[in-house]
Amino acid sequence: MKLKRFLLIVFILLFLNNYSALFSFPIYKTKLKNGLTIVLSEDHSLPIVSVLVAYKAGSINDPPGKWGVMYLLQNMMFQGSENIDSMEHLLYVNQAGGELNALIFEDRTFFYQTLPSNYLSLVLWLESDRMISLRFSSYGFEELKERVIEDIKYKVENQPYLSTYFRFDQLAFPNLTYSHPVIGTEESIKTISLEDVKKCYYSYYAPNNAVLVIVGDFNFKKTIYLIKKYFGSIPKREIKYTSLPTFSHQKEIVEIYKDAFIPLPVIHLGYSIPKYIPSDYYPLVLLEYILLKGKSSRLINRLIEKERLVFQINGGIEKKGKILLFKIFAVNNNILTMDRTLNIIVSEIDKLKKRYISERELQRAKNKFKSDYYRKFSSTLEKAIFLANQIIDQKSVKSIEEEFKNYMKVTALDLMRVVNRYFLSKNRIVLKVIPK
Amino acid sequence: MEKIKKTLLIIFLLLLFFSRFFPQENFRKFPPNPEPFQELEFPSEKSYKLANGLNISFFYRKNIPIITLYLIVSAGEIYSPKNLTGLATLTAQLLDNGTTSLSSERIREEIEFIGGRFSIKTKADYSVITFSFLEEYFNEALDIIRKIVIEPSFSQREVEKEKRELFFKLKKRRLNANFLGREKLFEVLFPEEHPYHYSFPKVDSLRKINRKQIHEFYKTYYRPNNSHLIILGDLNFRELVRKVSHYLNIWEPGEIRKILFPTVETHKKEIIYFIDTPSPQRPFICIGNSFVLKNRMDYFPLIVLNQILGGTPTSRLFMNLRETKEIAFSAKSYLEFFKQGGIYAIEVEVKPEAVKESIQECIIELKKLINSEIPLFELEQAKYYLIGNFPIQLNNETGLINYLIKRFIFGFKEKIWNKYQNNIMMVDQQKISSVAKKYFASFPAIIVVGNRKKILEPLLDFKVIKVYDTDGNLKYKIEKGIE
Repeated sequence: MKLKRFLLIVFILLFLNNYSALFSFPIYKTKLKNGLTIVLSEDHSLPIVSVLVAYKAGSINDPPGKWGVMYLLQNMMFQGSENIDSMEHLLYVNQAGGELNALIFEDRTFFYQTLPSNYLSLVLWLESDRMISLRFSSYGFEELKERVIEDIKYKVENQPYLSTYFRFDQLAFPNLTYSHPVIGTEESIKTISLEDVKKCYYSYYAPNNAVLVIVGDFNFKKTIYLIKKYFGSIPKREIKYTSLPTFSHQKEIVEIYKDAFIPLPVIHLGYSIPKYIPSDYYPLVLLEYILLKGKSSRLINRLIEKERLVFQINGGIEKKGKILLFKIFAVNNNILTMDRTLNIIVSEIDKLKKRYISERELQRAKNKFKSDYYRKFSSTLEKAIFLANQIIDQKSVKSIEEEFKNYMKVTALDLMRVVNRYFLSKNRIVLKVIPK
Repeated sequence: MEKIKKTLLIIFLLLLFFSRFFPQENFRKFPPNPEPFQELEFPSEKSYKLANGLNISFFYRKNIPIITLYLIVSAGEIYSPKNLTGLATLTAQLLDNGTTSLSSERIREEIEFIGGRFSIKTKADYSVITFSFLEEYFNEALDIIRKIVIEPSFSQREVEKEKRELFFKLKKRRLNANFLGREKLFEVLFPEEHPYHYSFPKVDSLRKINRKQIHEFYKTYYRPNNSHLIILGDLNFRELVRKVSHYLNIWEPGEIRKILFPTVETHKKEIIYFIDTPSPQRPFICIGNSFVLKNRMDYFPLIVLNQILGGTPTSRLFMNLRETKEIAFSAKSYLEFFKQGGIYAIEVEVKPEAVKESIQECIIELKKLINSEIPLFELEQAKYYLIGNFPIQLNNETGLINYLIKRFIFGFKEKIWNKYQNNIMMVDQQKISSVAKKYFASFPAIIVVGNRKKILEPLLDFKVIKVYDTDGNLKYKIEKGIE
């Protein structure tokens, strides 16, 4: 039996698909006739399995003005389907000792669970049932909306800077398709009807717009059989295409306003990058490490450790559709030093335009990136999330190693090139928010 | 004959065509049965003790090329003198702020150069250094650990800087209702002469701490024979021992000062400890009591009991307070084990108008555990959850290390963890009933954190209410029937 299993693994590794030497785990990818993409990765170190269903739709698919529909839909997915009652999905997984959750982003929504591997068929049954027959009952819908509104209020109350993030996104992405809050607003949630949510379900939650990822301890042959059994007969649906606006900033934007709820003044700074170019993206990610990752990164070291002008500074490259934004967020000690903080950030960026960074600093950034990258495979669930992202970002799962090497190949010259190309005053968006 | 064949074929094709409009497939109607249960072996451990008394435990992990070191030192907050709470935290936080040969800036740079993540946390019983890095830099990492642990400089400048930072952290923490509730729970469950009374550092005593006291604390407790090094990674054990020994054998052992743990009486009276916060945040209730484990094997029925009460969203508290009564936003319970004894606690975030009802419901749920037999079905569900969830906990590093720390601090041998699932399986109604009566019978302490003006009035029905400010100072006491 053991020999059989071993031979099967060898077979998978050698013939069916690829096997990464650096990232030493098998990956098998296929597609069902109804368009559902399947990604499997075996890992027998513990008797558990993570199952993730990713739909290629998120908040950018909210119909105009109905901000938060996709978030409501994400919540509706726990309210029952034809054969599963409200909250039963949670109960089934929990009774097996499993854990589950859902995540929504601008362009994707994940539903995932990790549970003992002997319950794999149970999860496939649960996930397939809500993919084929989600229940839309008006009973409980208003309560669900109330809960979501309550959550929004709670988040806004407990994260005093949240509203400043929303405002900054509106400046950086002057079209609400991109910049409205993923979870919607209190006002918009109130206007959403059950029919709106239903329309979105039938427009986006379909096998031909989804990826099923399974990572962990499973029998390959049997799993393929189970996937076909539970998902194979789910009909394709016509996917509604959302046209995404494109735009570019022509001049610097600066806005200052007062907010009664923030305890300390904050600066949001962004550089708009109008187009995604892979060869520029890799150095931009490493730039994030050089400026903002770790206590020895340039901005943290200077503004927190040395000059103590800010309490907190973070940020990095953010991708929305095909548009990118390099964001920096800083919480200042006081109002009087805000301009000085801003000048230092800009001057540190300007330094990178003129001087090459040292070999050691570049290596440090690469090593830090490398260890963060490896950590994406540290548990079955994290690996499943990574693989789902690869598929949605239209990257081949075969090319994980190649992709990784692209980051390692970045040179000091590449960094200087991207800073000079994108970090221009005309691409800059500045938002200063002062406590009232 | 041909005609019949043709007719049958047409019928068959029609059936096939219309099958898609037929009701759903049968297999969708019922959940599939699980496959047979797979037993789990706790990750196997290799251990070694250096000549200076440092215990090393190694767990093989191959999925990522990263090594993680955990250095656990029995130097938690309970070892800080009563008038100097925070001394243990401050000492631990200063370890990476400069050594005799490296500045704090240089240490940070060297840690990050090897792709490292470094943190130090201080709990009641211990402080733990967590250090993970790329596996190709094992030697460099051990050298950094050596310098940090054996040669910290505790310079005056760094002491002042760290005190300031800790001061702001402690101040900020006081805005958090959960923290205030937990802090008060420890204060009321453990008497003033007990070390666990001082589990959380106070801003006032931080001011009194000086460099000399830090140095003294470090010299007393940061000793190899008071520490345990856990390593996770894809390494050869022999090679690992050789390297660790090379870097850490010069760490000098010392005599470890023992501390006394006075006997703790469980909380018995009906008292509301009310913390008045000015902010309009959601009211927070924390209910709990202390216990001393009379038999180590009681651990297993206790965790099953906790699972029934409030371990997850399918447990009694959540189902009752959030799902059925809709008076709470969240409701859970947990157990915490220390070197000496432990606590159980219920934490509930509630609607402002439902504070009193929520407290009453929690007390009812506790009484039900003691007075009524747990239905067999519910007991089995709780056991299945714990058995199934155990390997999931081990799947991520934090989960695994939590079990390991529990093991070292709590003193459970490897064999007991290896039979974890079996030990849970053996829990029956009788054992549950026995531990419920043994550990949950006394009337618990009830802490309420919220705005007095909005939520205090309905609570006046309780026998005694002690009202505190957010710094923990008693403002006044209200007794039922006394003006």
